[in-house]
Amino acid sequence: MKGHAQKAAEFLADEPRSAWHDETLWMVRSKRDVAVHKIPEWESLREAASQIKEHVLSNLESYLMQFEQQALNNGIKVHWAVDAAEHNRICHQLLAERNATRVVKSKSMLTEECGLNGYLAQKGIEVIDSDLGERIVQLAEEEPSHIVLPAIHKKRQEVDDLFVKHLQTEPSNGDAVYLTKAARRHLRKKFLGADAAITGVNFAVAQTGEIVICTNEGNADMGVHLAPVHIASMGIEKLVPHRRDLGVFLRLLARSATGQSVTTYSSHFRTPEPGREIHLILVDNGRTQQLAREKYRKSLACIRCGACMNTCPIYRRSGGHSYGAVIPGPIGAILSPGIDMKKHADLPFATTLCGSCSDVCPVKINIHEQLYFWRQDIMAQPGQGGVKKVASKMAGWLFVHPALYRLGGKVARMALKVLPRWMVYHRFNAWGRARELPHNPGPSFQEWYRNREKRS
Amino acid sequence: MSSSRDRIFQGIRAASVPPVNHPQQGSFEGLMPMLAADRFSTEAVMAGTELHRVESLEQVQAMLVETEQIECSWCRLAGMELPGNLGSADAQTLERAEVQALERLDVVVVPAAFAVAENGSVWVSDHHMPLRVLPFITRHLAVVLCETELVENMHLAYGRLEQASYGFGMFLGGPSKTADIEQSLVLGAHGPERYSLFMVPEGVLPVPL
Repeated sequence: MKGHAQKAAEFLADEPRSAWHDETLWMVRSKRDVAVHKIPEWESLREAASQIKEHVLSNLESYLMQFEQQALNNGIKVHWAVDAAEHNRICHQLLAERNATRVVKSKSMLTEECGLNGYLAQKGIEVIDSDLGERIVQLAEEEPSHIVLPAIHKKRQEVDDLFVKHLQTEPSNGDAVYLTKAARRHLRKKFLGADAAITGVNFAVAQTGEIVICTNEGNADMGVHLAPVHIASMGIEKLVPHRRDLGVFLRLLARSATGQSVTTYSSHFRTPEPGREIHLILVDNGRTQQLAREKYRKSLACIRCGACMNTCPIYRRSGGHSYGAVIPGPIGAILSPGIDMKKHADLPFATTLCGSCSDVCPVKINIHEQLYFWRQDIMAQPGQGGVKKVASKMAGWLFVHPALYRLGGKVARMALKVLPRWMVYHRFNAWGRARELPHNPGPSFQEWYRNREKRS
Repeated sequence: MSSSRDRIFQGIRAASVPPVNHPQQGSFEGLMPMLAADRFSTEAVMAGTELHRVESLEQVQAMLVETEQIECSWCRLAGMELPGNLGSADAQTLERAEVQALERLDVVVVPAAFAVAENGSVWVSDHHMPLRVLPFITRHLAVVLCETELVENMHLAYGRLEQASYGFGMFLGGPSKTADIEQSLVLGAHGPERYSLFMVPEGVLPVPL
């Protein structure tokens, strides 16, 4: 299997495209900044959100019980799934019992995490992703490359080609309005004919048993309000204690995600519409394990805004697919090793530890610190590290032998002066592949300092 | 064998997370009330809302009829007559006999309980619509709001909702939109292509909403 570095290199091979990807995400980050600077109390909001999440994680059992009771009182059916397989089984059973074969789904990272689409397809159930970005990647038979902007890696001409092939549109040179309207017509038919709607959950309120789903397109609402059955999947960490806590999170979410002041639709579902059903599947799938890991616990506070991706210099220049994980970017690089450390061992290294992710995180997750913790934990595993480990050991040895260190420095400076270019810039010098080595300074700092003393 | 629910609870207990208090933050800095109305207009318009200040529901009706080809509509506000109004039908009738008509809806008019200055959104709930799909399936959504029902921020908004008993409710922040094709903003993704907000003086809408 290819690692992050290799897939990133492939992404970067197309220079204009990777530059465009970088600039586009930076534009989203800039919009976030503009929105955030209009809120003088932003930092207090982040602090409150962080504390509310930590409070919930420290009382998860009682809040889950309260939430379950309230939801049942509201007429919502509640199901529990320890892992992805059970989640998918429950979903399928609910659909099979109702002879539902046509399903519309709105964006849910949890169902991606569980591999629900593929599972249901195998059982002969048509699942249509209804978010435009998700529909685009579904038609392309790809995975979302970003949790908020699933098709951010696609150019408009590619979308045009996909729609010509699958939705019988006319070639339009990537006219976004034309293509969006075509998708609207196509998906309207799917909404009107759906037997069931599957959604994720942004927030669930323990006090009232209601769930909140945020979209800009209105696709979750179109699906849910037209289909007889609504199946909502949520991770057990999505709870907030009281309805008023939503005020804090709704102020943070859209501003952090896209720079909007609020999403177009922040829909609160407390009871099923008369004659319809709401089923809620509460999923663990590794969350209680992460809860037990003190260093990484805070990662469960994530509200999936994507701000850490938009700001990350590595994500912007390597693309979401290079991570090989459902959730890419900095937050994905601390969540994924918790699920499968071997498979995702290279992700915590796919960062510069610059800390920009932690600075923009609306719930103040110490993302870059956790990345560093993972690096240490992963290196402690047998068989990890390879060349880097040997190189670090050698460097360590050199540093405790000052005479050798000085001699080494002298030799290196001399070598850089006299060696021909091809002997310095070769395939083993990865650093020099796209960069020039710094100008040879002549004497080292120590030599310079000693000479200076002599002079005075 | 223990149930999945029990196993999840066992996992949570085994994690033994030390207690952390709820911040109990009462309120955050709000806007000056004077600025709130301006902020609301700016935010709403920026989100694609067509904002109008009018004196009466007759004026709302006139403006809608003038700017839209209306063949099918849904409106229950007394004093407004729109062509093809399905507003008198109850939920079952609407759904059974008119599901095709719902798809043809040109205009839906619903009242909003209040508006939020900091983000230009309004609160709309199922108290005022027999079918939840109405504000989503229509091509043009028109919302009527009493201009004095304005709170500064989301904390005060949830203060208004502390005791609310809606089955479904939403903060509505503009027309349906997407930017999923190369970040080009397009209005009218799945829901309404147009969203008009009519602000009327106190006393025009029935109280309490």
